[in-house]
Amino acid sequence: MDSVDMIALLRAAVLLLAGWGLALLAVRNVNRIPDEMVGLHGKSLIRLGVRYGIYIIFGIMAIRQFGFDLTVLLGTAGILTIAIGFASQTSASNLIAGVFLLTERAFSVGDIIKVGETVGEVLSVDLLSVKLRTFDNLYIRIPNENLMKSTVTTMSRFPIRRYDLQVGIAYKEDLRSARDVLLGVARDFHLCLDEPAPLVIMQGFGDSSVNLQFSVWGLRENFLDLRNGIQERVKEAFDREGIEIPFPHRTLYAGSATDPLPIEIVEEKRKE
Amino acid sequence: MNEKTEQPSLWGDNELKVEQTWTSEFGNLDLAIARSAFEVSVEYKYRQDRYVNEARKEVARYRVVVDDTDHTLTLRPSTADRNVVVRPIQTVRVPDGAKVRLFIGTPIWVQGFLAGGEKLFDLPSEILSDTWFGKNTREGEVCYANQTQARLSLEKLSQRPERLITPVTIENHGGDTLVIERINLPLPQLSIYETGASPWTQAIELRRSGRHDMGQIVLSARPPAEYPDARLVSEPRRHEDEALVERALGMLFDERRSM
Repeated sequence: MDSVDMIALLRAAVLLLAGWGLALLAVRNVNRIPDEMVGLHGKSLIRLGVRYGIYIIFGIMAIRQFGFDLTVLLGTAGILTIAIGFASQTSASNLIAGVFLLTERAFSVGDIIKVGETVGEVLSVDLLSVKLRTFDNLYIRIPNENLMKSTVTTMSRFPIRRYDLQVGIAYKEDLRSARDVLLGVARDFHLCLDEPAPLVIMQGFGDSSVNLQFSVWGLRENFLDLRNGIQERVKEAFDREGIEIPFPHRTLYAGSATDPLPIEIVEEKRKE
Repeated sequence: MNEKTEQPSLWGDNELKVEQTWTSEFGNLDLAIARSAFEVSVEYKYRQDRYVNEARKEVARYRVVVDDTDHTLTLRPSTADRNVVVRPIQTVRVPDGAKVRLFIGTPIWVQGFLAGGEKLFDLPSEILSDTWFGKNTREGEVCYANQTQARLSLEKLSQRPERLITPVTIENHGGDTLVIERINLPLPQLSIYETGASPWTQAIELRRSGRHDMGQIVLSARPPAEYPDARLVSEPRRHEDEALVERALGMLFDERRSM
């Protein structure tokens, strides 16, 4: 190996070392940015960009020390880009979707989100995917592209939530007293918010019951207790007041053109 | 078997010897504190509470590990840990130019400390329902809800040790009648005074000068005028800066809200 090569190698090594040091320093400075300014994901994005940006620049500078002509490399880069583009279509679309997700700030780490049928806590929002932990403790990776295309519900955005209980009562029951019983249940349950006031909405006449929607508000953190508690209390109150929650009824009818179904009370006849 | 003791004085220091059980009642709250050599066990339940029916009357229990030399239980009254939105049973209308002093009762919170400063419990004498106070369902604050008779005369006021009385003076110069449907009391920011009857908080004074203006709000720095010699027993839970107090009190009264 001649002396020129040795000097080039030394220069390249110094450049790589300097690049590594600079990247380290830059990342340390990025870490100092307050979380509330750019958010946790924004910060991780900036950190990645800064680190690999510096690595690439210093890598190119190091290669040039050996006399490589990068313009030739750049010339072929066009063809290479097309090839890579085709090969990494999915990754690229996920990457772009990831950038949009980060700027949109629809949710952040720690939020509870619902995507399709999946509900879970956001563990991280990365460039290619979002990682969730479901309530049964499963780790789920959702590609960013899917999140961009589908409806995402952020369940932990606002401090209060409404729970809608669908309940049916028998046709013979008095609707006004059933409504009063339901509102009384809400009034006597401390997890039900006083304001916004609870609501009873008539949903119409069903096959076997008059359908009601009982909507109550509660604090987000008490939602599960509220949901369980309200159902328990509604059942108790209806039992106490003698209000029937009917199960589906089926009445057999043969139509007006035919005779009704003949019914014979066998037991009575035997006694005679 | 622990030896039961008579109920000691309500607030202040109480002796708690080893193998002794201290019991007390505050409104609907039944408290029992048992001391053994290295631990204090706390047991409580709510009686006759509208939110706790017979089937759910559960006793809560927990134990705290303590120093062998610690034999004092300090009881302190405290305000609610959130603002309380009180709704007068009947709406109160204050005509233009009128000045009124309302007495509003809320349940007291009981705090127990050991000599080392360890907080043993911080419990309301009555369970209050949650509520939301805000312009809409996105912005606002979580409060407790309560109803009040909003008495205007001191004689009719029922004073009990577990009820905290807050005097609210309203002066209406807004040019029209002020309808009070609910009042958001910033209780965590108020001090408590011992009066010999109910514990009282410092007074809140409000002067309304314009139709949409909630005006000047003053938290009195002195004991309530009805009990000038009352003794300060508890500092506010939260010391907010002036601007925050003003903001909270700017929402003292309910404007029509869209939900």
